[in-house]
Amino acid sequence: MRHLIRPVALLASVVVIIIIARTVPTPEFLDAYGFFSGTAEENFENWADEPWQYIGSAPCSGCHQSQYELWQSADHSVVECENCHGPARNHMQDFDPLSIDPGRGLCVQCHDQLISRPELFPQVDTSVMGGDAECITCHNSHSPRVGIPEIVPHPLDGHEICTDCHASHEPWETTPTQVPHTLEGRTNCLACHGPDELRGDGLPTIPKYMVSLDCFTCHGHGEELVAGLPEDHAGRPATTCANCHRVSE
Amino acid sequence: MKVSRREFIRTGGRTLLGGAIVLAVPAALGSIVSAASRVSANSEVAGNGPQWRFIVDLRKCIGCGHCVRACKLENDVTEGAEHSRTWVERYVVTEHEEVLVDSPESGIHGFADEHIADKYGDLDIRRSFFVPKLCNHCASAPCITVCPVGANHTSPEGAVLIDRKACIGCAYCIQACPYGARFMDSRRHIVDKCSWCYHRTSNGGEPACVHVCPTGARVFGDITDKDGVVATLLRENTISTLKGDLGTESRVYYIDMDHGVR
Repeated sequence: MRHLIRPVALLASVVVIIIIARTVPTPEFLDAYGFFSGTAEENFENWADEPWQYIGSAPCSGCHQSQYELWQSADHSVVECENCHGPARNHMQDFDPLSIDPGRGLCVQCHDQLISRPELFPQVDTSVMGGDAECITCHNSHSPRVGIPEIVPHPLDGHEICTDCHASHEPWETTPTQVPHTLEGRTNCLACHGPDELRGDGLPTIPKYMVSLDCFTCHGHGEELVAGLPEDHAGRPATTCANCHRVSE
Repeated sequence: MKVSRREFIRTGGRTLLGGAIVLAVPAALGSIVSAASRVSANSEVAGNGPQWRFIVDLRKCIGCGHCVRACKLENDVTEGAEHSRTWVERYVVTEHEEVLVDSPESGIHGFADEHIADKYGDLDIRRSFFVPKLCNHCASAPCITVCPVGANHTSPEGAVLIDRKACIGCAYCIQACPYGARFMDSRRHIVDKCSWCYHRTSNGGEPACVHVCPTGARVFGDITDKDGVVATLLRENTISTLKGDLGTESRVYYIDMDHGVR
């Protein structure tokens, strides 16, 4: 066994040297001793001095009061102005318009139906919804639900007669909500509030060669060239006609 | 007294060895004991100032990519997807326990153009979700330790900031970071990474990515404020960190992180 003494002693001394080298002179973090740690304060200042590019939505209200108020009151109030319109820092100096692409791309980026998105997030199959038309044809980008009739939020089975629960004049203290319009001349609730495939049933259709015209040219308020709008259509912009009236083939 | 060379070496060697053992053993034991009983570096409060933390709520991310774009515009980040201080990954977990990850152009244009159906074909998908990532501003950061010139400093609030004047662009820290948060800036020829928008946060603001996130999936704040958003979320939710087993003591926390996330 004597022949083992030297190799074991050699091994032991190597181990001891490693332990010494690793524990005694090695600092926990080089950061504390850092070669250039003297510049830490200067470094923080350099980073802190950069200018802000995104300045927040509040400054927009100074000049864009009506859009700001509409935006604040609706569903897109969680989306900062600069999110879609870009950072506003330079705009506050030179007032060059912030460009925004009115196409479908910006809307689809958030609202396309994707399996990876949380289920309760509002999303639609954008390959079908609205065809090729820009989303802003029907949706006001600052208040996306304006002009869009609410879709029935419950299954239709067992709820065939809408007026069993929703009446126009009887006050209801709890849900379901009171019908906010007269029921005169309206017999088919699903024509406006039903799922896509039922909407427009029983309603006059828009001739397809007139789709690009402004509906109010002929059906305008006070004009009786063809047929004036029924009274219950008061206040509705021309951009919302296609929400309920389908285009004829 | 005449000492032979052999005697000299033998006695001298034994003295050195014995002396080294006498000194080394307590030193080693001491450092082992202090390492074991050391509190997490993260919980050591530096002075009385605010201590920042970042929370990512994975229940809310819709993968729109606005955060990635805002970061780029706010911080003058060099063009190109390889220069991304923050990015969004999409995870697809199949019924066969396969985990597929992608991040097209770091997610800057969202994922609407990259339908899973087109990309992965007919997969039996169990779950799919988005995971935004950024620099974790670790309390025990490997990037700080490996830098040969000490070009990183941790601010009093906990933000790890690159010293652009000291960085020599050796990229050792890029290798060291387990989260892939650092990258080579091909314009400045030094390393770049998320700074928690220090110019905004040190002046009372929030990082640009937090500012634009439409669903509140990104949250930033001072953990020492007991009524603040961060402290509240940490109290009320199940929290985890990325690669927690690596001991980096990340300052970025995740809510609802699936086990497949890496």
